[in-house]
Amino acid sequence: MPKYDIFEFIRCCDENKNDVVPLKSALDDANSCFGLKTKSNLLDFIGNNGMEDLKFVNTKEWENNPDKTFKIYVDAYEFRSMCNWVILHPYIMKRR
Amino acid sequence: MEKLICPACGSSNLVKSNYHEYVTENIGGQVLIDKVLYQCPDCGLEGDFFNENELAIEKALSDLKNKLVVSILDGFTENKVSLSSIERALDLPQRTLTKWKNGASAPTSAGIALLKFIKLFPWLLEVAENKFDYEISQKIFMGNAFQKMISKMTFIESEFKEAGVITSANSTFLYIHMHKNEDINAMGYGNITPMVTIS
Ligand SMILES: [Zn+2]
Repeated sequence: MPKYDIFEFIRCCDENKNDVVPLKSALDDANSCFGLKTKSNLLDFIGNNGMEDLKFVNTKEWENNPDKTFKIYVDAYEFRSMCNWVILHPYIMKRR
Repeated sequence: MEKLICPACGSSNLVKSNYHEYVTENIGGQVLIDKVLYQCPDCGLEGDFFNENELAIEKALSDLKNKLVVSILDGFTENKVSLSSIERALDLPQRTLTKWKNGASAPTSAGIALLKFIKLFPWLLEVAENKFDYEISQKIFMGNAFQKMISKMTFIESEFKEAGVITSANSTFLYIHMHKNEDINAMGYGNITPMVTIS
C-alpha cells in the first residue's frame, strides 16, 4: 500500500506548483523520455493527468533521511504516456 | 538575505554550483546554456531547487523554435513552394506564414508542430490541397511510401531495367521493370510489371 495519496500530489502539481520540487534526475528523465524540458512543463503534464495507467510499484523508507526521528517514505509508481512506460521517480514535497 | 534550505531535509548546508548543458529542440537543434545546481550534503538530493534555470531554458527553446520556423519556411521558398499557396492549402489566413517568418507574430506550439510535420512529410500539403479527401490521401501516402521503398531496394543490375511509382487520379501503383518480364504490358507504360496497385 502506498504511504501517500498520489492524487494529492497530482492536484498539487496543478494547483500549488511552488510546493513541488522535482529532482535533477526526475527532470532529466522527463526530458529524455517525454521531451518535457522545464519544471513547469513537467508539472503541467502531471497536473493535467498525463500519467496514464498509473500503477503503484512499492514503497520504502527514504534511506538518506538525516532526521532519524521522523520517518519519510518514498512511493514508486509506473505509468504510460502514448507508448512509453516509465517508473515515476520518487518526488519530494516542500516543507511547509 | 534569506537562507536557502534543502526542500527535502531542511538542511541549510546547500552547495550551489554552475554547469553547462545543451537544451535540445528535437529537429530545431540545440544550444548550450548555463545552469545552476544545488546539492544537499546532508541528504544527497540535488536539483534546481529554486527554479533558477526555468527562464534560461524557456528562452533557449524559444530562440531555437524561431530559427526552426524561419529555416522551414525558407526551405519551402527555395523549393519554389510559395507561402501564400501553403496558407491557402492549409486554410490559414493569408500572410500568417510571412508574419511567422519575419517575427511580426509568433506561431503557437500547434503551429510549430504543423510546420514540423510538413517539413518531414511535404506530401501532407498535397493531402491538404486535395481537401483532406480520405481516398486521395491514401494514394498520396502510398505513392510516397513506394518511392521511399524503391530508393531502399537493391536490384540485380543485369535483370533490372527500371522501377517507379505512377500516380493517377484513380490509382497509384509501384512497378518494377525486369528484363525477364518483357511480355507483360501494363497501363500503356511499356513492358512493366505492376507489383502493387492501390485503386
Ligand atoms: Zn537535504
